[in-house]
Amino acid sequence: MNKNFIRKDGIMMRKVLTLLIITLLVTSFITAGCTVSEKPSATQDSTTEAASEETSAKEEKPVLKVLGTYTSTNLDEDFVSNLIAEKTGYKLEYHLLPEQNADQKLMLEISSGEYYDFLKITPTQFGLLNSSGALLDITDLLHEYAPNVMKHVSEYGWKVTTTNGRIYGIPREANGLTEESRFYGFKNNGLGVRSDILTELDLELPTTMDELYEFLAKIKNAKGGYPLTGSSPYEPSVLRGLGLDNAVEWYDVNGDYVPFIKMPALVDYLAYMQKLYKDELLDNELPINKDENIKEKFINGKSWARINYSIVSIQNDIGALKENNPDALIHVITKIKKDPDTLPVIYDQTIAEVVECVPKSSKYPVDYVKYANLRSDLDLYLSVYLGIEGVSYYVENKDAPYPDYYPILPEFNKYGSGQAYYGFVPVGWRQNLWFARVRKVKEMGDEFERANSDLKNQITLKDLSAYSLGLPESQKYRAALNTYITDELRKAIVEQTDPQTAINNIIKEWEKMGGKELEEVIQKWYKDFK
Amino acid sequence: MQYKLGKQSMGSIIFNIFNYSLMIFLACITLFPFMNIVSKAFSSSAKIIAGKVFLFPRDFQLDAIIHVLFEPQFRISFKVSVFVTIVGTLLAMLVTVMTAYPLSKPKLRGRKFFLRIYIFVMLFSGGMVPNYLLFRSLHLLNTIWALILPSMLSVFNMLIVKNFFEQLPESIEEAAIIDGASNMRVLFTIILPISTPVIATVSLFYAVDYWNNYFSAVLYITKQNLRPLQQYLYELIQSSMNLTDEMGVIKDLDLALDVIPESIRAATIVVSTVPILLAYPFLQKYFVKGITIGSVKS
Repeated sequence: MNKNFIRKDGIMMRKVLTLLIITLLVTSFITAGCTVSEKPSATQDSTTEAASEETSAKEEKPVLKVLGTYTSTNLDEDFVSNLIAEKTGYKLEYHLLPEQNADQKLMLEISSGEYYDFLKITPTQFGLLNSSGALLDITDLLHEYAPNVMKHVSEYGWKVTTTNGRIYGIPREANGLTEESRFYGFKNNGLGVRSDILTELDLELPTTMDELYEFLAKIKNAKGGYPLTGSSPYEPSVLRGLGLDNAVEWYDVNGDYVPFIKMPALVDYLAYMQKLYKDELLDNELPINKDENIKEKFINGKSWARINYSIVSIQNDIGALKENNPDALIHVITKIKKDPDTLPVIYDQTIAEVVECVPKSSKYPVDYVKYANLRSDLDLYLSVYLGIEGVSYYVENKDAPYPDYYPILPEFNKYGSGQAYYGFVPVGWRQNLWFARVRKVKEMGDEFERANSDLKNQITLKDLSAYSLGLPESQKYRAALNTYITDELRKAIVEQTDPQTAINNIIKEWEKMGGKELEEVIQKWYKDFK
Repeated sequence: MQYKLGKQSMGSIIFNIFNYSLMIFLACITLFPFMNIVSKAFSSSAKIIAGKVFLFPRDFQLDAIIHVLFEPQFRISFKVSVFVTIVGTLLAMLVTVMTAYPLSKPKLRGRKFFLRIYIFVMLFSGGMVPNYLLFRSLHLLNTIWALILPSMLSVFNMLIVKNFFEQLPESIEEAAIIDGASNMRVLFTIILPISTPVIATVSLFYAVDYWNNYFSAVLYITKQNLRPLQQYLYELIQSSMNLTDEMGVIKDLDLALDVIPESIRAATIVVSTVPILLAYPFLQKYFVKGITIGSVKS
């Protein structure tokens, strides 16, 4: 009996072993198959480190150890990252925070005294570390070694990283343009409309809120169904017509900041959206729609327009749309008027997107500041951001204050990585270079130009409120409050609650949830900031 | 009587047909999500966006799969996971068996005390931060061992193995010892060969644990070169889902321009499922055994 038992299990063991070996072979085959054309691999840590030590010894530049925000791009292998290393002479040893629980992980790393030469983190995370005194004062180093950085970061940017007159980090700003730019106050999102419905029904893109209603009603009459689909309760073009924007959370009213939810125009907005919903112009699946089925409805002609659509989505969607109708394009209405006499408001919003700072454990703070300065040289920046003129990009309107940059494909694709460690340059100048990226896909570039060309019919205002994101109260309450407002507004559209009552109720709860405290803090912050 | 024995009644045939079709249909439904992902991996982006891919690929193409195989971070993460799974499982089995064997012997002095210690640590642990500090002091942060060591001994698995060993007839060991075999020799040449069901089951438990391990990497690894596949997958999917903030505003336009198409996300999932998918059907039957092994003592 036992003999049989042993024999039987011996066979079983062999079977198991054979299977394990097969699995091993297959997996190693797959891995080996993938490595055929591999460059010296980044997994060979020791070799890479040894090599970088050699170079740094030659150039006397240390390898800087950085802890940065998450990216799925492997930075050791990334073309742009290597190009920056080559041009500055500084190699980096990249360490990344995870995508989730990044704040906790960062605090754990820093509080346990782990050594990093510098950190690349969000303004919120910077706020956390700065308030706990974990960062090095780099004011003097910046003045001594970083003239480029000092010149390029805006006055507002510096305020984000300055405490008691001392600078603890360098902010990288995004979005803003200056008035000389032909895209001053540009917007990337609004109401997405399929162009084929315009031709088919002989319609023009609407320019006022009444026209938009008529426009959707005509499509409904001709095609049935719900002409407008989406999941967000915010349609930016209509909001802009009413002087609001879902990207702007605080509004300067007579010198004081008023939160989005307390703006009187929001009642009109809600009433308008409720009307669209009630008259079945807006998808009745608004609360349950997901991105995938919104796309599906839009591409397959179940709906012809979609809420809160971004021009950057055209690059992925246009191919699918062209399969259904080769002549179709996607237009994005970024602004409409409340009535023929009232101009829409476009907020030119500048934000501090990323902050680089030096923890107290840093071994090479001087080298870091020098490195930051080298990366902030405009020529060097251009050469790593867009590549080589005539090879990966070309320029039109060279003499304009803001020339137009266009990509040369496929070479330009090498420079596509948005996650490399770029330097600090004037925010409008950088934004202008960024437009080359939108022009990568012709339909996307053309639509971007069309939607942002008419600067006369709008009021452009500067918005600074997003610089407040690093405030502790903002970190504590902002996300939850915004989620609450979004959910409740969506509910109010569907349930057709009286707009004024709905908003009053939201405000009441919003204040209880921490909104009141946040409002006071932001008011005070704004008085000091502006 | 004969009629009923020889042939089934009409009602019973209809019932069976209905029953079998229903069961086959339900079994197929469980495959739908998987087939959907596989189809997306082999379809063109245009068809996916248009919502035309359900169970079978449309516009069959291999571009996404090829793209994934040449994606540097995927290759690195794949290698890390394969290494951790194979080496981790082997080491974990060694440690588990060598812990379980002595504890299965009633004559071991202080056996109850040791067992209680193991059960105690199974229920209570030091916590995340002390573990992190421990790994830091041992200079194990950002090493491959940070992914292998924390789960090298699962007390639950060890108890399964121990219970199995306790069921084996004592006389086999006694015979070996009389023939002059040492304890180690008894374990490796007598006990292990007759313990294949439990070895296979527990190995599979460990392998699946290592393959799916995600948390150790989040806690102990910051280098991209050591990120295991599960973390890569999780973050790949998360990052494409979190493009907009609570107000529906795109947080980072560069990220939105670089967004990873659905076909590539699907292809990544498919390619990373291959190794475990190859092993699973053959070893799955042991899972069932694994639950009951050692649960009954004679």
